Amino acid sequence: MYEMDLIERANSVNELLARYGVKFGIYKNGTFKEQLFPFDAIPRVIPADEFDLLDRGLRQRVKALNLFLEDIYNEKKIVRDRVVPEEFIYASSGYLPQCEGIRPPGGVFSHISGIDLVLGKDGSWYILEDNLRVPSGASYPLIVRDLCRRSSPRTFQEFHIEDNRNYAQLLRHTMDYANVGGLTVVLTPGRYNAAYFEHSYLAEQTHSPLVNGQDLVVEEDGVYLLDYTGKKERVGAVYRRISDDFLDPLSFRPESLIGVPGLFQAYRKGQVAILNAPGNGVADDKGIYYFVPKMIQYYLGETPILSNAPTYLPFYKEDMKYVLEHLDTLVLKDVAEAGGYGVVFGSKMSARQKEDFVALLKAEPRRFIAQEVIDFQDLDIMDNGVRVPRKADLRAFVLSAEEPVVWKSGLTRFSRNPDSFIVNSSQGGGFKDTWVLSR
Amino acid sequence: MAETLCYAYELNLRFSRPAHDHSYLLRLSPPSNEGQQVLEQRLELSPSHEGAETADAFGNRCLYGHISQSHQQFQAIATGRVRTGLSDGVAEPDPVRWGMMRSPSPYTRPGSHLLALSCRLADDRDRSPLERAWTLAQGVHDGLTYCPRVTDTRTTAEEALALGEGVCQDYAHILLALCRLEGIPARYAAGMLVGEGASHAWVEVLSQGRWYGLDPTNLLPIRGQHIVLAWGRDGGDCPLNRGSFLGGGDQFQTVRVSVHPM
Repeated sequence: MYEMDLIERANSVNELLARYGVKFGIYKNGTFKEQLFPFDAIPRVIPADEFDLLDRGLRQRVKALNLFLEDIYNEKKIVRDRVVPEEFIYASSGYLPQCEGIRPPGGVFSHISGIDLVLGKDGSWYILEDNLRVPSGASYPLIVRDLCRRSSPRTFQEFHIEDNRNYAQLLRHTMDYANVGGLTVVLTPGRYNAAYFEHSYLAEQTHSPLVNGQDLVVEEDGVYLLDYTGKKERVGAVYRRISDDFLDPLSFRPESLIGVPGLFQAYRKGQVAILNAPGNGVADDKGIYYFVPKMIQYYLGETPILSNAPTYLPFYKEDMKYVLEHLDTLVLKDVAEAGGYGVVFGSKMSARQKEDFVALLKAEPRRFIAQEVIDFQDLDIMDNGVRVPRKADLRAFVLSAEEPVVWKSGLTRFSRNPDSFIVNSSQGGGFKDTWVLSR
Repeated sequence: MAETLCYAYELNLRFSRPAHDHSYLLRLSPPSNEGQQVLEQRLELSPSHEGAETADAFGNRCLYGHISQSHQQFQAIATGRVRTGLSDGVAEPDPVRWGMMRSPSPYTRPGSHLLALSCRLADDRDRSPLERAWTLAQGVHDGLTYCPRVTDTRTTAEEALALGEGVCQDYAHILLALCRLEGIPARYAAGMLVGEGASHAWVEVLSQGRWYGLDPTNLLPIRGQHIVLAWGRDGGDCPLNRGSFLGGGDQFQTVRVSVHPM
């Protein structure tokens, strides 16, 4: 048990996290509450050879997703060749017609990709979902590693753990690669955002100004940062941590007060880079997830290295039949929802709920996907001094500049409730460090 | 059929208190295509400002900019001359590109009222998409009473149909929803119609490789009386003017459009 020393010091690490303001905001019943993101000291350990497989599989997947985004907003070859039905593109809430015809600077759409995986009891990793819009979470394992190294230096001398503190350099390189000339800024909606700690931490770590919408102004196709003296400085890349809808009131939701008017038009004209590109939601929709293995085949001519969880699309007749016959063993997901919402387990529905759900499914077959419930490996956590198993997943981060690079760490989230399969931090779980062994 | 039309579009926005950091995006420059040819056009702003020209995803010509100085009034005046009615429909070389015009969009998502109307208007005669669209346009025209100020720019097709009242934008949204329910690619057209009044909106459908205009409000084909300014999936994609500013207090906006044959 090589983490003993760390476990003994877990309280001090959690106290430091609280002192540094490592928090996660959640909205519950309409009010905003910031809460600590509980850290569990038992790390997830990924052996070198296992990570090598993840590394190859994730790079392959992100490469294909980037090619898909470029294709969908330009030639649409994958639709013309009938690999992906057009219903799954244009009816997706993540598809933004405003992005038609755009090829972003450097050709990258998903600069920072957060790919969620679980480890099955069969020893294989399964992709749960892709997050290509504004994936958050890298800052937590990043800061916690630093604190753990300080609390228990000998743990990190004894074991061959890949250093994960290069995340800021990877991110900076990704920003610089996309930048068209000028400053890189981190655009935050402000402190009432769930991930505000992360925004400020990543801005600091990458030496980028942390700004809000009103600090930026668009004039004659150029984006400028205004400082308090009124001086203007050209901005070449915006690492935005606000969603597409709110990015620019002239092109998206007109009532947005946190966006930058005109930003999107400047971006359309290639005068600024936006990380991640607007419109990426069309590729990480739960409905499009089904097609990612096909994209890998289609664009790269390769066999997918990592598998999806077995997924059914009620949109297809034979899948609908299977879903109706096996409702009890499946998990059903509303493609429009995120953050662990809109997920129901067939086995937990009452007869009445099942009836209602089947009616809804038949009326709106495109709205749902069904997946086999993966029997995934639990990870131990310390619960009041006792080691107990809990469900956990892994968010791996892939940063794309010239080529995608997988960060040798990741965010391992666990559910604190022993009966819950949902590990999303919006629903009050905790996190672990993720150790990738170097040999 | 071919005509030369003179147009003037005047947007007037007054503030009760000075506004500043005013960003605007205008789609007030008519495009030239197979059906209409722009002979002359101007777009003037007050406070005087040189915006940047751009084209949006639908190819609409836009002018956008940022006025930092404070002002109590914002004015955009577009004037020009356009030859219209130059062809019956406009050729579409690449229909696959317009898949988004076959899918429901934010303002045209069908609900129970639209589905019921769609069922009622369905017939199984073998006709071209354009002929079917005319049946639908007739149905929209019959099912709605023209009535200003009941709906606004954020009213959806489903809501307007439930009310049974609306303006040209609502007629267009309902027709778009019905066309798409029948698998007919259809797009929203914003522009101006001969006469005096407000801006206008209608629908274009893709039929046998050409886009044809239908005006469901007036039950008119587009044959030289209309000047198109912008297209989109629905009105939300191509507002003729959008703005955002700080300060300003109360705001009063008027739009006056006049179009006359030469």
